[in-house]
Amino acid sequence: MKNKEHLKTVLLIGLVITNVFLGSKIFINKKLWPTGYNFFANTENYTFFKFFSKVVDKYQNISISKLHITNPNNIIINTGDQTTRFSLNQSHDKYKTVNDITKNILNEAFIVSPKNITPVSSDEWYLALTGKSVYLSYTTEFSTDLFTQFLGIKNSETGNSISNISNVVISANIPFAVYVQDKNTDTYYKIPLTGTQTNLEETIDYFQTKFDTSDANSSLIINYSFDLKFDQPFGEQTTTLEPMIPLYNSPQTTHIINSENPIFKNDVFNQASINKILKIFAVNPTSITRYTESNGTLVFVENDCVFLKLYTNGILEYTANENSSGLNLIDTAAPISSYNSICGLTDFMDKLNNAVSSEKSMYVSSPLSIENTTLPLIDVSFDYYMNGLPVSIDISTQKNAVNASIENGYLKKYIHVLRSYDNTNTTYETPIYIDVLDQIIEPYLNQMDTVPIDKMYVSYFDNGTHGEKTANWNVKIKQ
Amino acid sequence: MNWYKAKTILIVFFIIMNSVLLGNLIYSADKATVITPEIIDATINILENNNIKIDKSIIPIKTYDIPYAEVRNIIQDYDLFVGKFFNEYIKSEDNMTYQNENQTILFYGDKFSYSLKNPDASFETTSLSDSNAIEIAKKICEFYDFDISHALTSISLSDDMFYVTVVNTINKKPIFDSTLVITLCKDGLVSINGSWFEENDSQLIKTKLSLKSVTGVLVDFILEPNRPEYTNEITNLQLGYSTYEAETFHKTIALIPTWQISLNDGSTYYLDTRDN
Repeated sequence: MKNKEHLKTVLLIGLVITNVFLGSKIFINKKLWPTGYNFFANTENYTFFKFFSKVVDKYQNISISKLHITNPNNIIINTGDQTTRFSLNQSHDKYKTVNDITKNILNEAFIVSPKNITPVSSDEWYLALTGKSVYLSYTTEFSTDLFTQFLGIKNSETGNSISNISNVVISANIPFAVYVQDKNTDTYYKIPLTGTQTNLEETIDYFQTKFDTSDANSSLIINYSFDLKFDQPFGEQTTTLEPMIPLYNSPQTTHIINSENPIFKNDVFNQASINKILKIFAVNPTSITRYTESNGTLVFVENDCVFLKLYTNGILEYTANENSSGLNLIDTAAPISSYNSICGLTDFMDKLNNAVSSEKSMYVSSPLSIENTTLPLIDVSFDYYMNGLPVSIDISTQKNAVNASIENGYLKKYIHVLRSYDNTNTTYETPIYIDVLDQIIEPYLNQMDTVPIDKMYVSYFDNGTHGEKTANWNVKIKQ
Repeated sequence: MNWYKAKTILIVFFIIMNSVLLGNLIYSADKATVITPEIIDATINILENNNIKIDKSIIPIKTYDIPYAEVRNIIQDYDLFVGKFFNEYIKSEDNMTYQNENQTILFYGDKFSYSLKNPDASFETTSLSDSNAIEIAKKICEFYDFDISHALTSISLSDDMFYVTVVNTINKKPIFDSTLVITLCKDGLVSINGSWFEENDSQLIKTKLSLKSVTGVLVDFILEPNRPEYTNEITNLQLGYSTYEAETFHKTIALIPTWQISLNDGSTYYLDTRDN
């Protein structure tokens, strides 16, 4: 009797499950409704499901690029003593704390009335750097309006006084102030702040007392080029360095990293990654025309136009069809603006990085000044960070990790070098800058009377091959 | 109510419900693929108004979804492919022609053309006839590593030359661009022309492709720019697969479901039948 009832229970459960399965097959498949109309067929278009998938997206796919777009690549703590300045990149454990403090200060500064913002001379800028202050070095210049929007400040009027932001100094000396450099016009501005900046002072003091110049952390210690008067020619020395270039006193020890192409391994494309990529481009993997070229490039064709190519070296190339406006990056409810266009791009980029597990940490490397972000057409580039250091890409014709063209909020062209990086257990010590300088400028000595170095920093170099990559000095000569 | 009694009632109820749902599923799925006579008649009228005749009996009344298929070109590397035929050759500057005294292979897009100045007598063609030409052609294909286990064959004759056409199939449907024409004469093999694709083992997508109804495709045919303007008649309709732009080379390709439309003047047209 007991066994019989047990069997009946099992049978009932099986019948209920089968019933649910058969019912769902009918309700979900639109072809099975006699009238051809299926109330449930497009469930993913319902507001509830859209909201739900947005929530899931938010927690699964954090938009890293947008969050970090206004993070400086270097924060330099100026203690007031020219021999002890500390440089923190994004991998330093104190970076986030200092960055949060400076962000709060900037939020305060960019709501100051434009009437109180005054142009100042470069002397005042350098004076601020010699006192207790924090220097925020950005990867590129931003239009002030864009910068304040990315900080989350609504209706800032700072852009009425300052067009573009290249770098920032936050002075902890009294009276407190934020100094902004606009490299495009070679002007400096002062934004006075009220109240005290206790957090900032404490942070600067922390570094001054905590780190001794003799200990291992002396690798953080830098001098600016202008501290050492390297920004001016002297005697037979014809090489000059931009005044704000940080020069490390000690060799930099960095991890050797492993570089991999996440979509093409062991001579085959990862089909699961390909299908995820196609979904992001709003393409049905089975209905699109696809083929492989003789060199192994995967090509996707829509309406007789090649619109997506995946190269075996990890480069993804999208070109909107001539008759198409491109991929919409902006939510239909949001207005078309350069801010929304770039936000849409960073979301898109992050989706791709998440889909193929490529490196998520990126920074904007092309100018986002007013001149470069005026609608309708905006061209933007991004590059990878690894261990807080930029990764310099040189693969085929690609010199950036991402190059995108956006027209009125629609993505028209997009090239992305998909890469994943991991630390190895091996480290490498970069030579001190002075040892490499002669080697770097030698090819230019015959061609130029003076060799002006615009940028000099440590970065990784990725030429597209699999395997280990080492960080070393990267030097850009001003042409 | 007694729970044991309730269970029995529920079991009976769900058995009936599931039977109804299953029956509905089978009936609706089958019904959904049938084209009604009214639609067929309307389509025939539209075609006739555009100078196209068609016999109602050749229009299939059911539209089936066919499996997604990806294929691999038998030509993956020109040097390796030519090596199946001959080892000593001179390559042209554009690497598209391989030649020696007697043999030539020419590549164009997905296609190749293998020809001999003096026919190859090694394939026992002295007793060549229309009854054994296909068997000889099959042996030739196997000799050169073409997998013809799923292929369809046909033969035509002209001036003592036998033309054996071999068409590969996948999921029991012809691949219209995967066709070889083997030319034989009593002296031996004269040439092999065409292109050949075989199923790609590594494809991960295993799903069915949703197709347009054949009547929709027939209406699309009206807009076909290359079809003749004079009155013509559709003599055959066949569903299969084709590749994309055979004039360019593809190492692998996802096949496009295609209807082949044959006219009474001998011309054929291929229409994409994917339901996007």
